[in-house]
Amino acid sequence: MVGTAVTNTLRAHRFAKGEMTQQELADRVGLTRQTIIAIEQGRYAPSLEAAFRIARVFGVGVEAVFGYEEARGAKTAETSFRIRTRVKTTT
Amino acid sequence: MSFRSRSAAATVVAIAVIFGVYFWWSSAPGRTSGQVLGELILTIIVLTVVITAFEIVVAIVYRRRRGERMADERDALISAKSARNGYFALLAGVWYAPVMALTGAPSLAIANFTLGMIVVAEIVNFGSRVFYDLRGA
Repeated sequence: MVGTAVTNTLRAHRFAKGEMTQQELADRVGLTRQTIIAIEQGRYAPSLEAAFRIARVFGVGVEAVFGYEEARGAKTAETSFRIRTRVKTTT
Repeated sequence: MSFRSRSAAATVVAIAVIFGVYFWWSSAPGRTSGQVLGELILTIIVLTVVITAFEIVVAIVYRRRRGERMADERDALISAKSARNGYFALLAGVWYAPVMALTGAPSLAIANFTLGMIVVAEIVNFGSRVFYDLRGA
């Protein structure tokens, strides 16, 4: 699975908030339920704006809901740096 | 699978099947340009009708089942990435069309080759949408 370095505790926060459904959260933050599912499963890193909106729904700060997996993030950054370098040297 | 994914998957299948039939027809020996043009017009009409009908059915079913929003930031990202992939596929193939023209290939072959590249680009575009939706954008 293609994942993201951004981790989250969305599911835990939803259950702490009276077992809020994915659809309810999606409606409140202006996203689709599919996007909420993708975020929860770590398949999509939301925009900064969406992350703030999600955190606001739970009444906490962004860092209480979202985290950053250093090792994975560094690997992704290294890969994209290699690709950019390769593109520059070939053009 | 989301509404958009199902719609994209159906489009891939429809394009592959309908244009597959068209290329099979047009590659038969002894075809004139007029016949192939007629088949192409028929193919485009059939494709438009099939895709429109499917989109209507899926949209109605999905709206009834859950009041799903039509698009959000993730859909926009998936759409942009997929269009980029389709563009690369088109670009890679279309460069060959002038080469064919300069080497004296028949105009029908060049036209069909260019059309084939457009079809491949569309399949890459819609196939990418399904891929990114299922595996992550």
